[in-house]
Amino acid sequence: MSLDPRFAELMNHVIDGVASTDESAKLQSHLASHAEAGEEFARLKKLSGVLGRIGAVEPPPGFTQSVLASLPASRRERAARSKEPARRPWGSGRSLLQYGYAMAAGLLLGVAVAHWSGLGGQDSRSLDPSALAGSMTSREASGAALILETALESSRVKGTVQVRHAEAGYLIALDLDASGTVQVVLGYEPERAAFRGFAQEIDAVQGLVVTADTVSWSQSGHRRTTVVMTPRTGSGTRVDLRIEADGVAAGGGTLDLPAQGEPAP
Amino acid sequence: MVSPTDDAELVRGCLDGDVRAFGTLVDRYQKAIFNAALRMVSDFEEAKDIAQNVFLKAYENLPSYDPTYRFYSWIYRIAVNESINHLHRRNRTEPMEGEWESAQRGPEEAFANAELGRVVQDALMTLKSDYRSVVVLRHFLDCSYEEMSQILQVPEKTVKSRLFTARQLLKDVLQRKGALT
Repeated sequence: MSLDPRFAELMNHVIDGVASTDESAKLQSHLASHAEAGEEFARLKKLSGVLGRIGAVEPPPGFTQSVLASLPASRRERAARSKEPARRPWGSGRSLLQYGYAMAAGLLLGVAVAHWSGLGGQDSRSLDPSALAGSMTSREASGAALILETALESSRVKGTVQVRHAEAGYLIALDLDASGTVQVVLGYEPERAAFRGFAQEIDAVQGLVVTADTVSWSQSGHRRTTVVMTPRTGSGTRVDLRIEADGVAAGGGTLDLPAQGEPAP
Repeated sequence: MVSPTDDAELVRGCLDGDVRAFGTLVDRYQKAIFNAALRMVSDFEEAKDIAQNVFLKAYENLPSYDPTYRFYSWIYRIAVNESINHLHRRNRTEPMEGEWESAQRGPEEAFANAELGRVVQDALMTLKSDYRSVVVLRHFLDCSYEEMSQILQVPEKTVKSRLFTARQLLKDVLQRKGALT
């Protein structure tokens, strides 16, 4: 059965309690003369009722204590010690610019030209990073405008994150020194940006997995890796960076990437 | 729903180094976050880990939280993203295993609801994560269209469209299983 889309939307509005009196009356009038639509509406209401009968499950006992015990000690102790607002781990990072490393002159960057339009839903693919190699000259890289820089510091990993605007898109340069092997997970908004590939030390990337909205890999020691993301819209986007060690969060944060030509937030 | 003002005060407390304030936020939202993760991934232990990561991530990112937005919208967004990222990593779609205890009123009703819960959860797991997210946010976390739009970072029109499709799909699955008769 195909529902008139106008009334299908009205049915949902009524079920969600956001329909106006006029809309409700309009739907009732339609249902009175369309038996199939009436049956459909009855099934939707029943579905809503069924979902409403599913009870919430209690979290495991001691959950709050478990969370508090696992808070990153460095920030917690620093904050408790100073009684001042904790330092912002991510953000404009303007004050950190002086600590930035310059992209090495003469360095040849490999830039992926892969397209992921075929990826969707819950698909994921394990990939050989070398398959993503392309070319970007050092001139292109050094000419890219630095828009964001911030530091990352935890017990397992230290380093900096720089983001530049280039013709290819956002260049997200991760300079990370990890104690042991860590998993790097970049989550992005597929409606607003697309993963293009890697540049620099592509052999540092192990176990690369790409999904519709995440890129993850493992690395160890001191590595510099640059991820290339292409904006899909003119409104900027966000990238969530997470570092995990032994399956536990070891640092990360959200990078607010401004649109081309706009200053960092 | 908790007053956003209260949440904002607690966030300020956290940023001033008051860990107890963060504990209050965890107490306040653990049930919602845990249940959202549970409905998304359909595994008790994994949902516990996801919920824990959500709060750790929230704690790490509190300085970048914009207090002009509701705190729960912000943390629900983290929960949805963490759950979806987890599903992508695990590529997990199989039905849940085991039984979960939920607050019930009597043995007969408890049994009926537990059975219904299993059927509904199995049906939820047949949906793509985008569709499952809107069902979880609307029906289990009681979010409005506007809140879902903020949480999922998509226009309200998209929220409505996804919710409509999700309900159609869910209705069809549950009808085939005889749960809507």
